[in-house]
Amino acid sequence: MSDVLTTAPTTTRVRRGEIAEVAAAAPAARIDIRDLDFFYGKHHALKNISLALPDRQVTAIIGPSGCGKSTLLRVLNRIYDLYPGQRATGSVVIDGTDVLAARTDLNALRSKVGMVFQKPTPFPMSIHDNIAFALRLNTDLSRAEIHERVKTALKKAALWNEVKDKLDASGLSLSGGQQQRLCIARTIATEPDVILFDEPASALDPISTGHIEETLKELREEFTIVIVTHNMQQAQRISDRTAFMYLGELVEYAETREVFESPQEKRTRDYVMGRFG
Amino acid sequence: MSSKLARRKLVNGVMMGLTSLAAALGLAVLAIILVHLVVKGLASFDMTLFTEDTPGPNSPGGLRNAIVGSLIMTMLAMVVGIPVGVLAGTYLAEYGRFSRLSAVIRFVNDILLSAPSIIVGLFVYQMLVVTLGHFSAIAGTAALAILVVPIIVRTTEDVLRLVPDSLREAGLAVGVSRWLVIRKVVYTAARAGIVTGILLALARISGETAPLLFTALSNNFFSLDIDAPMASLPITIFQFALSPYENWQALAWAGALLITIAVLALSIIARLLTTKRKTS
Repeated sequence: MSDVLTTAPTTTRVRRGEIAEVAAAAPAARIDIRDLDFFYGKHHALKNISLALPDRQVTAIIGPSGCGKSTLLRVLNRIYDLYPGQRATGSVVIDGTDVLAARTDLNALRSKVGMVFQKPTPFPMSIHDNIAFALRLNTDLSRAEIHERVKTALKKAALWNEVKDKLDASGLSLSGGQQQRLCIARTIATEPDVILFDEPASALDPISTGHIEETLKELREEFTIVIVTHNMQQAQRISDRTAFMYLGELVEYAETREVFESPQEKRTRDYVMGRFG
Repeated sequence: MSSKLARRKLVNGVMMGLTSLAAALGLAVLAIILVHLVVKGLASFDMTLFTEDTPGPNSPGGLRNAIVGSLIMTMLAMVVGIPVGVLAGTYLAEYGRFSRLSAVIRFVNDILLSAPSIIVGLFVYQMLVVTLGHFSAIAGTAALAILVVPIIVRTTEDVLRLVPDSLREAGLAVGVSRWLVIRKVVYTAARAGIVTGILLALARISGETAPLLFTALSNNFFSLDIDAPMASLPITIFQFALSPYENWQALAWAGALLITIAVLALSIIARLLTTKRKTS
């Protein structure tokens, strides 16, 4: 198993015919998903998914409601582990670590694979502490260093100018769009390799959505980003590659332009042209 | 058509009258009790209540030993009951949320919650008083703690369940351990509710008589020894109210007023905390 893991980045390119073409030009795969199946009790929600997500690029996952896109995202940081009856089989390797292995340290994994949720979820504490929370508990940084990280994270999340004078105010006092950027800042501050976004803008107005998308574009330089979205224009605007899922299966995965302009599969074509979903 | 409409209006009027009458009746009974209590209680309400111990028949005195005894036993019961109750409630709502053991614990806890307090008193009598050979404040504290735990377990579990899972997921998603997410995020979000449950439990036991009757008994003298019988307000009220002596009866009224004020204060604090939670 571990042999496979360490060689994963090079073998991905030729492993599957349909992705070999695009993979040839892509950098080494940071996330390598193979033969992944997922079950909610008896419900088979993901069916034999194999997918290689490249380093420092934005991959969008699109598809109609219930197709399994959020489920796929929730496997990548094992957040589904919170609930009994949910289980995954197959393998997911992120940077040499087998995510699905029983011995995987979940706290360490989640420090490396951050997640931003659909609804903003600020913690019931100050803006500063929302970000400092994980740093205080997981690192040995001094107070000054933590403050510096908080500041940097807020700047990267394009929130600093709006909150710099009220870092002690409750995170709950911010607007919805600001709360979501606070959640992004919180995730950036732990310095993950990968950030998962689960429809991060679907609960926000167009202006806040614009802010979030700007932030995402800047983050792609530093992080491998996976974003689940219902909004196909958004997928086109911000992603390098797009995966289309339907009824728990991965239908098509290629460069975003190709998926939207010359899809190979009829189901993809129908979906991106708005014929269903 | 118009006769139907008239009939409907009549029925509506009658029902409105009946419901108003019922509400007025309920409030009137409460008001009579309160007015009676305040008038009778205030008559003998002065500083000697807090500075002097319970007197003999027809001689001056206060309730100091009973007040201090009640404070000691309720506080000790809370010190034992709060950690057990909050932690057990946390288990039910967090770690053991889906386990079968939790369903059993929840069921047993609900039975305990509605068990008559006199049964708890008899149980502790059998377990502690008979075993140790004498009545004591320890036994009284144990009985009160047994009453406190199920209330706190229930309210803690209920308010923790109100905290959305998305907040737990968000906490775990930044790489923090489950316990720290519970302590720093979930408890913070549910703090007002947990405190409210604790205050309600405190209010409940501060008026309990039956569980103390067979356990702490009472004491006519000031005592801080928890291994000996200890006076308490409810028992003193019970004793003095039934006595033929006027000064004892007056003290019973004063004691009853004292408990009522304390419980009222706790309820108001609990209410304030709950509304604050809703607006924030």
